[in-house]
Amino acid sequence: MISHDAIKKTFAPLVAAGIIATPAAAFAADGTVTIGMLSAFTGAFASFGQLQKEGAVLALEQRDYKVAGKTIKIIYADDQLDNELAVTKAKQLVEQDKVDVITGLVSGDEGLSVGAYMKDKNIPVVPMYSASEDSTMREWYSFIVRPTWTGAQPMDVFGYWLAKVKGLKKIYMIGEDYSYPYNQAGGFKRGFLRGGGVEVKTIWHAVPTSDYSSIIASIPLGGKYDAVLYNGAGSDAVAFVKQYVEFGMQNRIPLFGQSNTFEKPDLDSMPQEIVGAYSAHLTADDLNTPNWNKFRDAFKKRWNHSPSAASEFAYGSMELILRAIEARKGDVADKAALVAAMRSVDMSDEPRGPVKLDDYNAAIENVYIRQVALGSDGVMYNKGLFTAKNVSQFGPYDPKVYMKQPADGRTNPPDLRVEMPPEMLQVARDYEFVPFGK
Amino acid sequence: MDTRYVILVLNGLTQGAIFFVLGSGLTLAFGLMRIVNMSHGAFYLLGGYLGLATFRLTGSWTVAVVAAGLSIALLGLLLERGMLARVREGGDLSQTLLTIALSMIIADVALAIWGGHSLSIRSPAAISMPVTIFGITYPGFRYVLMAISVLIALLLWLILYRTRFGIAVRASVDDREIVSALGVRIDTVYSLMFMLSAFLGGVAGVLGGTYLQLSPGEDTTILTYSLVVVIVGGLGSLMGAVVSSLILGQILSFSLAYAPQMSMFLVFVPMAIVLAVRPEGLFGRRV
Repeated sequence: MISHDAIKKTFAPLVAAGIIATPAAAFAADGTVTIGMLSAFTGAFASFGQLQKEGAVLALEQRDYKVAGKTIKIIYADDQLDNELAVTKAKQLVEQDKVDVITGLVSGDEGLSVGAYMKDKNIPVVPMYSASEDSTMREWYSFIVRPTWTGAQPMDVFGYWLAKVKGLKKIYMIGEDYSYPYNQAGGFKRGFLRGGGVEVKTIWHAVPTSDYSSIIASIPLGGKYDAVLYNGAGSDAVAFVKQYVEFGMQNRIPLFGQSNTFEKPDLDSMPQEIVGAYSAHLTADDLNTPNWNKFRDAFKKRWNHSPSAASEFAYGSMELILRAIEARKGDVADKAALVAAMRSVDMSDEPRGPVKLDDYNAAIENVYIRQVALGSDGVMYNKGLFTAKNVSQFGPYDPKVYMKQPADGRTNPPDLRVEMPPEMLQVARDYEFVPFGK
Repeated sequence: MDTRYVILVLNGLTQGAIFFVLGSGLTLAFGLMRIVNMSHGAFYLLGGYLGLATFRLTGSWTVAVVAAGLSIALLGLLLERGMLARVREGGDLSQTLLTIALSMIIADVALAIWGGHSLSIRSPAAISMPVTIFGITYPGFRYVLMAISVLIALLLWLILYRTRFGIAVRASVDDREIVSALGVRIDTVYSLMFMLSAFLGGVAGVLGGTYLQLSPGEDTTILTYSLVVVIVGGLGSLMGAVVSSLILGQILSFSLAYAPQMSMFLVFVPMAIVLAVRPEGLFGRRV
């Protein structure tokens, strides 16, 4: 192995000659704060990566890339949704670009890999859309600040609502086989079984799969299950929903989605037969609060289309970073102080609803139960039905009890209520649902 | 018999159909030109997007299929004449590397134009109605897909075995120097074959974009499947492409029903077996 010093010596003449700049010195001197935005801008998640970028850029442009007298320099790094490449790119951002903050991160696995690499780097990591709960739980360290969500967070509410309020007993869930859907499934199972549900049968399929017709043909009919939940997103969701309708399944057993299944703009590529389908997320397309409307209008003006959750999360995360830099009066040398500033930023004006951070720097916020509806313009959207307020990443559970459970996976938590640990079926106080907009 | 098995078989046939349209073009071009066109998946994706654009413009699905096929064929001609022919002396490796580069460029251009969102082509209402045969209801468009691929198989057979071009192609597969010496313009044969292959790629894109969806990444997924078709069937064999796409379709369909997590793995099992036992493929000849 070549030592660091050896490398330094080798390149010393070049540095002296000014051929290789020493970035730390170069950037600190001219009053620049460097933010690295690492995400999947191409590949299967290009759509979410792009939506995320649009939200972040809007926040930066609204301040003209200047905060507290400092110029914000943003470096985009594309990991193509490849976890190894994500770590390589993170390394580049840290060692070569000397970034002051790393943000972006669109998928669950990507967030976990980059989080693991960044552990001893003492640089704040602000995941935007990456939702694997362990980034702010079992794998958490104080430099991770995630003002957005975990996969389980909206799904625990959704499952509980379907069982407790809608009285459903058995759900057949088909999901993409990787960490974020595991976490969505985990939240859903806990909420559904706690709310009185009996079974959430889970089936996992390889990613990517193009033709779902055989999976769809295998769904048991004849009242064995109350509904099907497709636990997938993006192009997989479009293909699945399209084929579900092609086989006329929506007339035989209702279809629900995970948080991203019916997100725009994928919803625009789906057949209108799915109007009425339920899902839960932290945004709804018909939110009508002054903060949301202001954000939505600015976003539409800049990008010519409506924002989705990924854009809003990115906007809010970037705002958090910028406000923290502002609170530090542009001094980002002390990274621990920057994280402390992030923790005390006021996010009560967050467009999707007020956000607070818990002890693990994860968001406590509103969860919305939504239904796919047809607008007067003939375009489908996610209409808010009910709101559960101040939902934490632990749901209604005591964090200590929650963290003792094994991490969500293919077979964790169990599918059946009878196999669920009793402490996960009992909570001191469960959600209350208020009509959307109240 | 449970109707579910019939549906699974039909699903396998639908998938086999699309694999055949894609894989046949790839395998025929390979048999003749000895290069694996790694941009075949990108041809598929671009064909699908061009079909979508045409469909939005004209509202006709048939026009979309033909327009996409022809534009990709034209693109194929330009690439073959303008680039592939120039590096032919460099051997198989430089040509293959060139097609990899092309596939990346095409995919990035498509991402820039059509974005990362998932798009799909609406199947024509007249043929997308569910059809009930012997008590089994199945989407009509999928039958059309199967019919189109059977038609393409027949046409390819006619071209290969009943035309002068086909004779030249088959002879060149065996010995291109001799064919060349006999006065056949081998470069023209290459160009025509590459165009035909690209045409099929473009058509497959519209078929796939209609019954599945189009999005970034789909190009590499579909390329993987067509490579399996080519390898299992035997390089350059039309019959091999037919048989291997049928097998692959059924494996995918049944594995998705019984072990969805394992579907990708199970697809590669026959490929591994074939490579171990009969490296030239089921219908291939040793080269």
